[in-house]
Amino acid sequence: MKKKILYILIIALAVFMLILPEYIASMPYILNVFILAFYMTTMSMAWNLLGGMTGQNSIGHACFMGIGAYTATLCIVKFGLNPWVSLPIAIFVTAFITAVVFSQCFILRGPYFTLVTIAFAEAVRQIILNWDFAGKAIGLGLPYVRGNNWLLFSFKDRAIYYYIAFAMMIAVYAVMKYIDNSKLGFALKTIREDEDVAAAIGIKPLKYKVIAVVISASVSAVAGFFYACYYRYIDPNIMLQSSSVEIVLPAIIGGSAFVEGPLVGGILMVSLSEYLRNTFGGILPGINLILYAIVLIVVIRFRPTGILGFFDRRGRA
Amino acid sequence: MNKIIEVENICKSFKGLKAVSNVSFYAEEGQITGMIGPNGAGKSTTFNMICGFYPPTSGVIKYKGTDITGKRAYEFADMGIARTFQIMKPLGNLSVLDNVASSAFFGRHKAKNIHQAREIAEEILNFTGLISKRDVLARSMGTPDQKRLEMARALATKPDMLFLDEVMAGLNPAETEEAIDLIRRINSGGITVFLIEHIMRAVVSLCKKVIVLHHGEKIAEGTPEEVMNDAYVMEVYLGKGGAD
Ligand SMILES: Nc1ncnc2c1ncn2[C@@H]1O[C@H](COP(=O)(O)OP(=O)(O)O)[C@@H](O)[C@H]1O
Ligand SMILES: [Mg+2]
Repeated sequence: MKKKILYILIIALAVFMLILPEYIASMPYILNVFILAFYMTTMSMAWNLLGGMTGQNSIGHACFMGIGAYTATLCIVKFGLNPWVSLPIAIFVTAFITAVVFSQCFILRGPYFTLVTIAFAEAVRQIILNWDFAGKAIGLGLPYVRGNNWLLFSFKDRAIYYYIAFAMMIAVYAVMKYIDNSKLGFALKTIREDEDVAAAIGIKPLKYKVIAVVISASVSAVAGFFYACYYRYIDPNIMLQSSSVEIVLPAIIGGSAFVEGPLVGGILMVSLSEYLRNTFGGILPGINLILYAIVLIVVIRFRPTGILGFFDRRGRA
Repeated sequence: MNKIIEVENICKSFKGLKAVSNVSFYAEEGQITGMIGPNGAGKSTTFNMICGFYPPTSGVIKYKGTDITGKRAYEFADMGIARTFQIMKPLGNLSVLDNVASSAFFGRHKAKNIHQAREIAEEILNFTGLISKRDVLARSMGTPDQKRLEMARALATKPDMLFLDEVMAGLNPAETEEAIDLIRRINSGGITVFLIEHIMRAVVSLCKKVIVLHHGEKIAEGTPEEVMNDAYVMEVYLGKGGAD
């Protein structure tokens, strides 16, 4: 019964999200907030596969997104490739670099692993900053195209970006939900809980950790491709440490133990932060960030398992 | 008689400290073999070497006649060897059912999907008497249930040989009886059992052969009666009040 109501609510929400652009098409600012929320949620879900499900906390995810965005943009701008060809190349390059680097890094555990992700992200950002071909600090722009062009992945209508971002978020959610109930998901969760147990029941921890980070980075590369095509401009700042932290927050706030965590946290945090900026930004610049931080501290203080932790009934023996 | 596990002169040093020195023994297929000894005698260290958690400093370990020294811990489940941990390691944030289902995905069942894995897990929860806790988070259970979960998780890998490290520590007499009964049922299902135990009553009632370790060395071996009547064993082990 309860489940039925939940399903109806979810379907209603989905329908609402789908018809929403009809009503806010004339408000590009609001549309942009939604697109940003979908994008952040997608990134946070990618992070959560490695952080929440596998227990390997990365604070370098902006760089996976950045490698994807840069590879795609370079393919389009410098090699004249079509965006649809550039996307799989971007995914492949990101996955390959990640696999090579992280198969060496997973001997480090806990905070040491986290430090390596920070160092890796910073190293990649520095390389781009000093690389002429990639535009150094100035960045790279994608050409604007007239009208809506699916072939060149460029749209005058922001509503189309809205739908694409929404579809990307739902698709990534579906993949994560599938992984959660699969053999792979069980391997990752077992590794998160205890690596010795994982080994004792026949799971090779290193192999599965590498699979997790490669999937996580590949999804980030897709989000990076979207980011580049939407903003049509990228620079090394997209890989700043602060962006990596922002990616982690929705999952933590929503509840990183749940596949739905980043979904709940992402939509909530982006809307909240934009609302605060809109309402208070003019009066007292910076107050929105302070309020944002307060919300964060309150949630983490009272519910380390995130918002969804409030609804989790298990655990009472 | 078939020797399923053979250990030849294994040694282990931790930064100069000799935890196990020159220990040799074997376990017979289909039997329950026990290992006793005071705390710090090197029993868990011996288990960890046999199960691949770390290699012996020297010596050879054979399983079903094949040298398995130096094999990695994750290779053992496929060979049909399962173990429990003395300090329980429940997958705390997973339900009891999923703790066991994870083993059914790996180990030797190789469940194809979550339904199959959970089905196998339910069977094992029935067998181990944990079925009423199936939806509880593993971390919220008490010691007796977590000890049982250790066994359930090991069983779900479908082993031929099961290593149990003090699965009765911390149980009251009634729970101990249940655990003894469970181990006997596991063994009569065809699984060879090797157990470390402090509770004498359990060792005497379960084991055909007992190995005694002291200061990392094997000091006696034989039937429970033989071992208990050994003068040296009485002195170092029973004399210190190590018995139950
Ligand atoms: N990982 C380790 N590092 C250093 N010393 C260890 C380690 N594991 C065990 N020891 C030491 O080895 C000895 C044997 O320990 P253990 O095998 O756990 O004994 P038992 O299980 O018989 O109580 C103890 O002195 C213990 O302190
Ligand atoms: Mg021990």
